[in-house]
Amino acid sequence: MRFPILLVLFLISKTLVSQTDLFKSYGSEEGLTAKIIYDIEQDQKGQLLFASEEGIFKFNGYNFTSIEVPNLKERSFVNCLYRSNEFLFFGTNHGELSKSKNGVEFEKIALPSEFNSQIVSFIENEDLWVFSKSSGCAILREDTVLSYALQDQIPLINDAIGISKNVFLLGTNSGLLLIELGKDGQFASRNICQEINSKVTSFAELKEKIWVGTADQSGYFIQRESFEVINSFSSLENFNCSQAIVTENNALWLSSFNKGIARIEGNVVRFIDSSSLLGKKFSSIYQDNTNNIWLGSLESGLYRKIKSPFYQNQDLSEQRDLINYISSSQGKIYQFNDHVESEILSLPGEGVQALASFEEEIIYANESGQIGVITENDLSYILDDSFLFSSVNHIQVDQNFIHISTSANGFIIYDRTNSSIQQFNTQNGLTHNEVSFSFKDSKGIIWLAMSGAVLNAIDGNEIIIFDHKKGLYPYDFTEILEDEQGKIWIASDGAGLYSYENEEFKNYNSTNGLHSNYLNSILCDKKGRIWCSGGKDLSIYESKEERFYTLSTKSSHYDFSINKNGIKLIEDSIHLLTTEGLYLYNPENTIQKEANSPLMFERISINDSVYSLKEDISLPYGKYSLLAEFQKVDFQSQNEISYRFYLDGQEEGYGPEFKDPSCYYPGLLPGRQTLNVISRNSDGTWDKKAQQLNIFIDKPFYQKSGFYLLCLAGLFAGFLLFVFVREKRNKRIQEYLNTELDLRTAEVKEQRNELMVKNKEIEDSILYAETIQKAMLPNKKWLESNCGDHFIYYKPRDIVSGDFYWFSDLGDYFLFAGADCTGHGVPGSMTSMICISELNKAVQVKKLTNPGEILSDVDISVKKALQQNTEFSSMDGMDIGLCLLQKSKRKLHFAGAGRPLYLLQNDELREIRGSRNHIGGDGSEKKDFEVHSFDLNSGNRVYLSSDGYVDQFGGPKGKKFMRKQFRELILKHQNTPLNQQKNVFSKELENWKGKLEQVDDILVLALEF
Amino acid sequence: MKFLIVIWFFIPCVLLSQAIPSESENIESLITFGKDAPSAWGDDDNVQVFFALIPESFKESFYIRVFDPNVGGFLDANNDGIFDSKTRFSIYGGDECYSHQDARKTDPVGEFKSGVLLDSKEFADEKKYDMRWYNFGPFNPLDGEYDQNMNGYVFKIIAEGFEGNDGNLYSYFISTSDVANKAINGANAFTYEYTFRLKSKGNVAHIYPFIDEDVIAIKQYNFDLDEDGALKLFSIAKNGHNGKVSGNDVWNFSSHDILESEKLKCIDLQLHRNDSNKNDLSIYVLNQYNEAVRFFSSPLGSHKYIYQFSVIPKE
Repeated sequence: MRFPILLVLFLISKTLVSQTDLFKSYGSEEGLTAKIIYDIEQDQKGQLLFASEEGIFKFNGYNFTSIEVPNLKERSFVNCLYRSNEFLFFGTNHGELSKSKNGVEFEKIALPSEFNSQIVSFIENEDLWVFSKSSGCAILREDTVLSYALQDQIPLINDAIGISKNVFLLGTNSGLLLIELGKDGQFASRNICQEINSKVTSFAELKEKIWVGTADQSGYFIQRESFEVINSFSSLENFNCSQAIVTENNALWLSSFNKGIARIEGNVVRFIDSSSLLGKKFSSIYQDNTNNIWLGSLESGLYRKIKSPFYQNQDLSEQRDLINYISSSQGKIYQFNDHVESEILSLPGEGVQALASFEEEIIYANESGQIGVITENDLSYILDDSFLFSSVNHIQVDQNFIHISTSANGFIIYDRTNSSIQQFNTQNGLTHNEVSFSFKDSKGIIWLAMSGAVLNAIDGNEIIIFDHKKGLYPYDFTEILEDEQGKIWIASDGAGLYSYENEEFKNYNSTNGLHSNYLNSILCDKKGRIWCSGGKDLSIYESKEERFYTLSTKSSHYDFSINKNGIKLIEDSIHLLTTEGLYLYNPENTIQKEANSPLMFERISINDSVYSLKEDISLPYGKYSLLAEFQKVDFQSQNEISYRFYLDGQEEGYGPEFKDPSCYYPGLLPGRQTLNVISRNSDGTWDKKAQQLNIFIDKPFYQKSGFYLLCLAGLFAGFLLFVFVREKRNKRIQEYLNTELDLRTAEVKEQRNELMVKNKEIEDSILYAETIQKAMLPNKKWLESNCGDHFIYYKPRDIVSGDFYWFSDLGDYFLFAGADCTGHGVPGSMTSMICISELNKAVQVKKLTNPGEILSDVDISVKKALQQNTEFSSMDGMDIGLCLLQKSKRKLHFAGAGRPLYLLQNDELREIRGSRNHIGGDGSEKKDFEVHSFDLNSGNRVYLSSDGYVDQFGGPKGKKFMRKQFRELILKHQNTPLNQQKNVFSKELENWKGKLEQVDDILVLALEF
Repeated sequence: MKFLIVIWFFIPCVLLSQAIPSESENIESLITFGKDAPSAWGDDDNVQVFFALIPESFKESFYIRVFDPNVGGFLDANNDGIFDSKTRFSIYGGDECYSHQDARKTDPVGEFKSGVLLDSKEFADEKKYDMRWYNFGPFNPLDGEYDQNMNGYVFKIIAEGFEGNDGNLYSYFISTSDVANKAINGANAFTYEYTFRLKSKGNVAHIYPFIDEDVIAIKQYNFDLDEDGALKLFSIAKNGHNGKVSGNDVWNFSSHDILESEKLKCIDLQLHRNDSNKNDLSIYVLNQYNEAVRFFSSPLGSHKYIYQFSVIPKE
C-alpha cells in the first residue's frame, strides 16, 4: 500500500562540519597576573614556565607561582626561555643569560659586556648556541662560553635555526641570511632567498621544509637544502608572525603580533576565530609534551587550547528534537547518511517508534501499527496491523527480512519476498512476549533481549534460553552486537557488559573499570574497541589491554547524556545521539595516557625544612613531621587527577584517593620508610608504578645493633674485668694459699715424715705383732702332714687379724677351730691372742676335750682376762666354731659360739648353727654351748669360717656375699680338691669385692676326712 | 624634580602628544634627505634623531609607527626625477640610548647611535609603504632607557638618509596599536634638532623648546629658512620676540634671555611664512652652556604671554 507523502527537506548542507577551537584563559584567578607572555617552555617535570613582563611564572596545573631570576640588571626581564636536557635557560631583553636546574637555584652565565641586546633564540646544533638581536651569538658549553660578534656584517636578528654543524639560518630585518662558522673562528655570511627580503620573524621546521614567518611579507615554506621557496601564503601578508610551532599532526600553528592565530595544514591556512580569545596580539605559541597548545598574548595573558574528545556538529546542534526521535515522538525521523550530509524528514501522522536504515531505505514503525519503507521520494507501508505492531521496540533489517521486536507480541520476522510473517512468542518457546532488541550474528543466530532479564537466541527453529543458570545477572539487556572476532557483546541495564564466546559469558562491570553498570548503548568500532554508554559517561574497552578507559561527557563546554542506543558508527566516525544534539568523537583530542607527564614529587618538607628531591633522606633520631607535595601534570583535566599514598613502614597499604596533591604525616617513626604515591589519570587509570621517596630516620641509640654490641662488649669487658679482678684476687689468694700451702706442706711433710716415722714404727710394731700372731697360730705344716686334704684361707684386713685358726692334736682327738674376735687389726689381734691363749689353756692345761666345755671355759677365762665383769669391762670377745675330731671313731663334735659349721656329706651341705652365745662380753653366768656330733665318712668335708667372707660387700649391687652364696660356693666346688679351693674362694671373694675394700678379717678353714 | 612636577601637572596637555610632528606644532612633515642631497634643500646632516618618552606607569607593549617611510610616491621630495634614495629607520633602547652625551647633540657625531638597537629597517621607493604606516615593535617599555628625571623610558628613533639625494617626508606616532594610532597616556617625544617641512603660506609652525631651571639664555639656530617669513618667540614673559632668520643654505642664530618665570616651561618658537613654496629647514636651540635644548612635540607648561601691569597708586 502506497501513500503519497509530504516530504519536506528541511536541511541539506554541504558545509564542513565545523569544529570550533576553544581556548581556556588563565588570569589572576589562577594566580597569573601578567598580561604579556613573551615565551613559554616546559621543564622536566612537565610544569610550564612563562616569561612575562612581570617575571617568570611557573604553572603546575593547579596554580601559578612566581620565580625570580636573580642578579639581573635593573629593568631587565626574561623574554626567551629554553630547556636543554635538565637545564632551563633564561635570556633577557638585555642579553643576559642564566640557567637553572630546578627553577630555584640559578647560575648566571658570564657573557661579554657587549652582549647586551635581546636574546632571540637558543639552538642545539651539537653545541648549545644562543643568538641575540644585535650582539651576536655564543656557544654555551658546560665550562666555557664562546661569544661571536656578528653585528658588523649582520642586521638585526629576530630568529635563527640550525642547518648543520656551525651553519645557521638567520631571520633578520633584511631577510634570510646563512652564516657559517669557519675554522678561523670567523663567520661567513650570505644572503639567500632574495624573494624574502623583509623582516623575518620566525622559523619552524616541518620535515624537509622550513617555515619562514615575516613581519610584513607573506609566510613561506622554503626547501631545507636549497632554501628555495616551496610555498608562499599571501593570506599571511602582514601577519607579523611572532612564533611558529609544528604540532603532532604536522600542522603548523602560527602566532602573530597583530593578527591572532593561524593554522596551516597542507596548503590551507585557517585563521583561528575563537570567541574565547581576547585580542589578536600574540607573542608566543607553544606545544607541551601532552600536545596542549598554549598561546602567550601581548595584551591578555595566557591561553590553552581545549582538547575536547567531543565536538558538536554546528549545523545540527539546534536539532535536538530530531536527534531524540524516539522519545520526542514528534513524527520526525532523522537519518545520518554520513558525517557531512544530513537529511531530515518529516512524516505526517503518528509518532515513530523505531527505525532502521538499509541501503537506500529507511524502515520504520509508527504508533498506528504500520511498518513503513521510506525511499528517496516515497513512503509505502508494507505492514499494517494495529494489534501486532502497535508497540514496536526495535527494528533490524537483514536483507529481505525485517526483524521486529515488540512489547507484547514477541519477535516477528517479516519476509519481504513473499510477505510472510513468522512470529516467535511464548507459545512457541520464547520466555516472554516483550522483546526489546534483536541482533543477528554472523552465524545466523538471532539474539533477543527479553523482558525478565533473559536472553533468547533463535538458531534455526531452536530457541536457546540464557538466564541466570548461564551466569547472567537478573538485569534487563539493552543492546547486542558482534565484533570482528565473532564475539557477542551484550549491554545490560544493571550488570554492565557481557561477552559471549565458546558458550561462556564473561561479565565486565564497575569493578573492572566500567564507569557504570547501567548501560544503554554499546558499539564496536573499527579498531575492535567496545564503546559503552551509561548516559553521562563513556567507557571504551580496549580488548588488547583488557581494560576500560573513561571519557566524560561533561566539561566546561558541554554537558550531555547519550540516548538509548545512541552510539552510532557512521563512516568510521563515532556519532553520539545526545540530549543536547549530535556530538562527534574527535580521536585527535583524546588524551594520550602514555604521554602524560609522570607523577613527581614537587617539594618535601620535614619539620618545615625543605629537602632535596635528588636523593634519599637520612635523618638522625628525633621527632619529625613530613609534608610531601607531588603532582602529575595534566593541563587538560588537572582537577580530575587523584592521588593515593601510603607510608611503607607506618601503613600497610594505600589509603583513599585525594584530589589534593600533598600528604602530611605528623609523626615519622624511626627506621626506613618509603612514601609511595600513585596518581589516577582523568580516564581512571592508576599508575602501575608508585613514585617513591625513601626516608631513613635513625633509631634511638638504645635500639641500634651497635648499642647491643656495645652492651655486649661492655658486658664482655665487665666479665673480663670481673675475671681479671677475680683472677688477680685468686692469684693473690693462690699466692697466699701457695705460701700457706708451702708452709702447710712443709708442716705436713714434717708431720708426714713424723707420721711416716711413727707409722713405720707402728707398722714395724704391727709387723712384729704379726710375727707374734703368726707364731701363735698353729703351724700349717702340721696340718699338711697329719690331715687330709684341707685349706686355710686366711686374709687379715690389716696386717694383724682378729680372725685366727686354731688346732690341737691330742692323739685320737684333734681339735680345730676357726675364730673371729671382735674388731680387727691390732685390737682384734690382741683379743685373738687372749682367746688363743685361753683355748690353749683349756685344752692343754685343763685337758678339756668337749668342745662345749672348752668354749664355756674359754668364755669364762676371756671374761676374766678382759675383766669383763668389772666396772671398766669391754665387750670384746669372739665367735668361734670349734670341732673335735675323734679319729678312731671318725666322729666329729662341734660346738659353736656365734659361728656355724658347714658339713658336706654325701653331696649334701649341712649348716650346723652354733650357739647364739658369744665368747666374752657381758654377763657373768656360765654359758652353755651345745655340742653337735656327726659321724664322718671318707671324703666328708667341714668348713669353718669367720663372718668376714659372707659379710664382704660387693657384687653388682654392692651387697654382702651372704651365707647362701657361701653355701652354693661350697656345693659348686664340692668336687674340687680342697687344696685348690683356696684359690677358688680367694678368686670368688676378689671378684665379688671388686674395687671395694675388704670390710673385715676373713678366715675360711676346710678339712676333708 | 621640578621637571617631573611640570610633566604631571600638564598631563592632560600631552595625552595625545605621540604624533610627531604633533598637531599643535602645525608642521607639515618631518623630512630627512639622502646623503647626496644638497644641504641647500634644508637638511644639514641627513639624520633626524627623535626620542620617545614612555611613562613608567605604562606596562603594555607599544609600537613606533612611521607614516610613509619609503622614499618615493606621494609626499616625498624628488631631486632629479628618480627616487633612488634610501632611508634607514632605527629604534634604540637600553642603557645610554639617551643619556650618552653624543646622543643629545644636535649633530650626528660620535656615538650618537648609542644604546641597544631594537629594530631597524631600510626603506627605498617601495609602494607598499607609500602613504601607509609601518610599525616598529611591539616594544616593551622596559626595553628603553629609564630616565629618573622624566620618570619614564626613553627610546631613540634615528632616521638616516644614507643613500640618494631625495627627501623622505614622514611622521611618527607612538601607539599602543599597530593598526591605528592610539596614544599612550603620558607619553611624549622630543628632539634636539628639528628638520621638517613648513606648511604653506599663512601657516604658523610652532616649536617648543623646554627651558630647564638652570637656563638663563638661549640661542636659536635655524638653517635654510630662506628668509621666508619671521621667527618669533612667545612665552609667559615674551610676547613675540623676534629671532633672526637664516637664508638659503646658511645658518643664522639669535640670542634671547630667559626670565625666571619662563623656566620649566616651553617657549613657543613660531615660524611665520611669507612664501608658499615648499620650505624645508633645520632648527635647534642651545642654552648658555652651548648645550642643546629639547624640543617637545607637545609643549610642557604654559607658553602664553601674561601681561604685566605696573600700577602706581595715587598719593
